[in-house]
Amino acid sequence: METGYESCPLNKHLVLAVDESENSNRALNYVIHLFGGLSNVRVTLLHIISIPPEDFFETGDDRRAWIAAQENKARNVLGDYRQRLAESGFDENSIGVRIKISEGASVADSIFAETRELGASTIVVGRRGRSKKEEFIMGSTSNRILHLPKQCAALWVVE
Amino acid sequence: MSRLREMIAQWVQPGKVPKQPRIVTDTSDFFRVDYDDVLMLGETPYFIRNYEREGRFGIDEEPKFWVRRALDLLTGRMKIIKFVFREEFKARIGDIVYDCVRSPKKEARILDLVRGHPNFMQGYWAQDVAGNIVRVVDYIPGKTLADYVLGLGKGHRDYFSNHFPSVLDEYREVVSAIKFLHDNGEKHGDIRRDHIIKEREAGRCVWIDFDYNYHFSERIYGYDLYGLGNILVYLVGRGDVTVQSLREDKAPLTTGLGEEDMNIIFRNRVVNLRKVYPYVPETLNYILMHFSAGAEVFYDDTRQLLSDLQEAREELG
Repeated sequence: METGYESCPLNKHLVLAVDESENSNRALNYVIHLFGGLSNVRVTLLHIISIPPEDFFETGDDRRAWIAAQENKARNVLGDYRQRLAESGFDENSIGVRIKISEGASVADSIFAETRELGASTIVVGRRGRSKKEEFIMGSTSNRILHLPKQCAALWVVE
Repeated sequence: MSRLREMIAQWVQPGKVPKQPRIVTDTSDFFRVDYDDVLMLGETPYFIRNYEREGRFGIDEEPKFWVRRALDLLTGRMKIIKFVFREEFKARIGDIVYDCVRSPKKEARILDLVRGHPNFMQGYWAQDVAGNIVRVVDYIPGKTLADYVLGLGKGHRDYFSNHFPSVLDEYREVVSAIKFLHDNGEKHGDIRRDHIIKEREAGRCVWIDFDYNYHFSERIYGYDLYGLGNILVYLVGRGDVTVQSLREDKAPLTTGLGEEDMNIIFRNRVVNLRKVYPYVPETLNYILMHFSAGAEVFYDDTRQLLSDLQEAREELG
């Protein structure tokens, strides 16, 4: 039976989309709990930096400084997470880290685009637990990924 | 100077011509731009008149010190001059707090984008001698759409049967205008019912005041969509229908309203208007319910909203 997903990757490569929040920490713990010590599991730690519109910055220098600060913060988070994965039995050579700057696209779209580029078969995200009205106004990354058409990747949302 | 006085005298009564109008070329300190000054912007002199006021819902009419009416002394046309006032602040919708910025640069950019578009205020921007981006927009005589609909019909039923279909057409037009912004990667930023002016002469609905911007990393246009929903509910109800207003009117339907029938943010505003006005068709009410506390799905973009609006309009005949 043709499912339309024959060209989708099926592998042991996870993209763990994180930021500095507690829900990301929970998602990391979940991945460690489930896969720590198993061979052949590859994890890419992905951090999306969503840049506000240019109007939020008085000058180009302000914008560059903001991005640099965010990148620095992301590097720290990813460095810490990478270490925790390695200490939990993941092969260091199988842990990748990526920081992506997203401008004008939603975080979910950016995660999905990166996952496709990496050819990974699974996305893992932590759920922030936004209220319905917050979701109505601001949206939800996990919910949006869930509703993207033909994702070609399994999504695990860690509560 | 006498030439300037002559130009002013062309457009105002003799007694109103200042003896020695002060010429302003640097607007950095806009508090120092006074009534009767003349702002020189490039080659165009503008005769400064009163402050504009923030007329939100007709309650708080605070002066906007950075916004002045002014006469274009070359044409005699009334203009709105907006000086540079940039601010970052925490905005609030109910108990949701988010970062917001008022950006003259953003409004200037959109003025360029919407030039010639019939549903946006028109104008241009220029830098003063200090490099400040000064926006000059056409003054639009007319009422806000909100005030306009309040005067339509002898009662809600009459309004809904005889006026609402054309109001809905106008609403669809302004939603299409917002779609144009979104398609170009821009937001209005402050969509509310008193930011639509119904032009007195042409009768068109025109968006004004798009200098706000916000940043949601997931629902990029979420706040604009929320604003569009609120306006639609207001237009269908011919005003805000609240629990209080229903009580005051002794409407028997109040008891039949549940939490899921109310606005997703403001829980005293009724969104399920079919429960109050049973002649509101299901297809139209279905759109309203996307903005209710009971909503399970939300509109992701204006395209989806417009598609449902078209269906609702066809049903109205």
